[in-house]
Amino acid sequence: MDSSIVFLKKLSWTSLWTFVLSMVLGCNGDPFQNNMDDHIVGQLPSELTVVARVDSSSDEFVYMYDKRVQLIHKFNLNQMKHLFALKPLYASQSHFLLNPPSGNYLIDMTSTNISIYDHLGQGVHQPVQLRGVIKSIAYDFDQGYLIVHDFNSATSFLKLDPNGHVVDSWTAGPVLGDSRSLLAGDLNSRGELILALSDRKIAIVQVEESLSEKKWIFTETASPMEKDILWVGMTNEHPESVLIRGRSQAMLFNIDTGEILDQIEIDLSTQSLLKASKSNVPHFAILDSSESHGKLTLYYVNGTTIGTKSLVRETKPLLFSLLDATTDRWTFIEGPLPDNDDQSVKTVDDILSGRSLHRYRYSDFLSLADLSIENETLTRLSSEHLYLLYPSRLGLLKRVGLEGSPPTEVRGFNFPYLE
Amino acid sequence: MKSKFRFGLEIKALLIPLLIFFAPQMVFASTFVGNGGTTTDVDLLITIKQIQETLQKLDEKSECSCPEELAQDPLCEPLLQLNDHEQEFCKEMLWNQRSHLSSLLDPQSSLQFFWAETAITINTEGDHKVVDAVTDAAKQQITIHRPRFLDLKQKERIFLLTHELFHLVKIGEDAITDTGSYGPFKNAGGGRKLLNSLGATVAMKAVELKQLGHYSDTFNLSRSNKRRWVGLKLGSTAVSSGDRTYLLNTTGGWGALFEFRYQWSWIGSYVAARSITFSKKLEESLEVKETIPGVELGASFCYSPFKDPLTFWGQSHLLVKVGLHLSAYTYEASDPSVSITDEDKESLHKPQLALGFDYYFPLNFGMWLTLGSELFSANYEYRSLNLSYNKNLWTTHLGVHYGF
Repeated sequence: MDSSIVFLKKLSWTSLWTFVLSMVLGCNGDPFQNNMDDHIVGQLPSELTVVARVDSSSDEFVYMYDKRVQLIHKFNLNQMKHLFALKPLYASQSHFLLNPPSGNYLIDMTSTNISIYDHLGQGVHQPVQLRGVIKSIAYDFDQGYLIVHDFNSATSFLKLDPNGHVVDSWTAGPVLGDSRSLLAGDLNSRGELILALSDRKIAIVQVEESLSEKKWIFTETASPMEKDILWVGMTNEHPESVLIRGRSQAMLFNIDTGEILDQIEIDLSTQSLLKASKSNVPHFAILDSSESHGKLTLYYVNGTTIGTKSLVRETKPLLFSLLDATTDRWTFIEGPLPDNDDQSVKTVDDILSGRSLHRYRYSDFLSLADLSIENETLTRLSSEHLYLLYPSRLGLLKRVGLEGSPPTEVRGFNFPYLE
Repeated sequence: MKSKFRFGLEIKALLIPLLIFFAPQMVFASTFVGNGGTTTDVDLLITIKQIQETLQKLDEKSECSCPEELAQDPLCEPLLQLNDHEQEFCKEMLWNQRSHLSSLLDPQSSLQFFWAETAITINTEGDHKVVDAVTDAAKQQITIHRPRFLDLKQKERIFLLTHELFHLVKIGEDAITDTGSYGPFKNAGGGRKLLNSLGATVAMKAVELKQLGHYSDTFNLSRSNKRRWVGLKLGSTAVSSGDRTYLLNTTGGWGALFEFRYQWSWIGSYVAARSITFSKKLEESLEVKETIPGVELGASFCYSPFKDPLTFWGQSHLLVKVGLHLSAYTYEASDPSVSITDEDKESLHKPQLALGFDYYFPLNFGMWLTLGSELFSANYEYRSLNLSYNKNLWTTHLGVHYGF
């Protein structure tokens, strides 16, 4: 076949997909409408689950929920060894797992329940009365804070000691003051919950004081955003800096001084949001459909500025995105092209086929990994590895090196628990 | 430990009554035909029956002659050579001694038969002569060269045995011998001529009276007196005591066994190779399987509960086996992604007890149908899976055997 025809054909498919993706993600010219990443406090439970929080200074481990046998397994990742399994409450439901790097305890969430298990598997269930289906979670294990936001706009605060025991808890309603409610937020490393309010102000909630007083204790500052803030992201390095995003604007804003550190404009007519993520650096990816071959632009917090990098590539829906500034790595999972009949936005847990993982050296976008993820596997990511839990009744966990280390596996861990 | 002790008791409980029950039966059976014979020597019994039935049908007018239609039969040759006096003497001898002969053939008589597995040689006037049978009238014993006897046709067996039986008939003080002179049978070898004439007469009468056909079914019926046996058994296996294997707790197994047995008389020995498989499919994706291949070595004890060896039930018999088995144990669980296997090979060095029985039903031409059961202990461990078992397996099987 003539090479020019091949090029044109490829070009036309790329253009078509760019057009379709733009339409799917940005109906009626609004790139952020109905985006699951917006209007959340912290992160989606499904995204929390993907990242294996490990402490590289000691043995790495990960918890994974195997729905085939309805067990939560704990693995030692250094030794690739199965440590124990526990049967959670509401075993038939989807489970989202979160653990501190120390591994001292595990937080297990279903849509309406929270259980906290210690390192021996002893559990405390429903430590706080949830008011609705869990929508998002913010956490800071160093300070022991776990903040759960639900679809009824209630926000539950939990204070945990290093062993996962609940020290204090409180559930707050969505209204701060007389006539405004929270829209989005995130927790910073100073123990402040930064909330975007419906009057476009930003509330700086003192978590410790709010917990002890059982009421919202906060200060507020005016935001320079012209319209509602949909999304708030924090960095550990600069807790005073908050990346806020509205419908057509994004700003890096200093909550201490009220200073706008950096800002960008989003062209609603040509640009659509692919993904917004807070792992590990707040960032969001924009697809520019004005270019026939599809231009992906990544915006991220870079110190006191909004960093920008663009890459021309064939782009599919981003299910998960992990930007690690310390290791200069951008890792993301793509899903398959959506069906014409199904244009709903999917999370990483919704799609179990047609996935692929890509890793770039972020500074120059050198491609480091390009992996096809086997169908029906449950995925976990650490800084160096992709972990795949297979739909095996007997149990199979594979560890795949993202940058060349040989694969290893643990098998048969479900065997003792079969009935 | 509890299970092992229980199994030991079970075996003892079974063995003691079995030995008590079998012992007298076995002693009785071994003396019936003699050393070298067997308890159910059907060929000889049929010949004896045929002679008895022929003698019963003789009448006073029965001649020592050959029917015209059988004149070409080689057995008629001695009869065709007889003159009138010899025929008359032969006829009277046969008529007068028929009851005596019948009494000799009665199981309660003192007559004993012995089998010789090698050719029988006698010394006659300095010459060594090979014969098919020999009779010691003083000891009331007839010894028959077994391979030769089995080669003979039915009428030839009747001829031979009648000849030997008349050696036990006395004329005056002495029994008839091959070299004696009796009545018109005066020449050298007159006795042999007389005996051959009597034997030929009974054989031809048996043919004429169609006695030979009565036992054709019995001849085809498989016989229990064979020494070498091979067999193949298929059956199902269940756990009779102890824990069932993990994930196989609701299923039975199936097995196949190939066996070779050498049976001296009521006692024999056997060696067998078998394989038992338990398998189960859990949901759609998970398959679990346990295989137990092994070899078995032991002693076998034969018992015939029915006494008439010429009948189907008379040939049927019970075989009890006590042995030791060496088995390997392999456990395998697999789904489309993972396969887990463990095996216990150390058990191959630990003989364990096996006890079983088979009941043999005769078919034809050496083939048998068997129905039986076997109990054997199984102590093993799958170390990497942290599973260990101490149990007894109970197998019920149907088999086909061939005795030769």
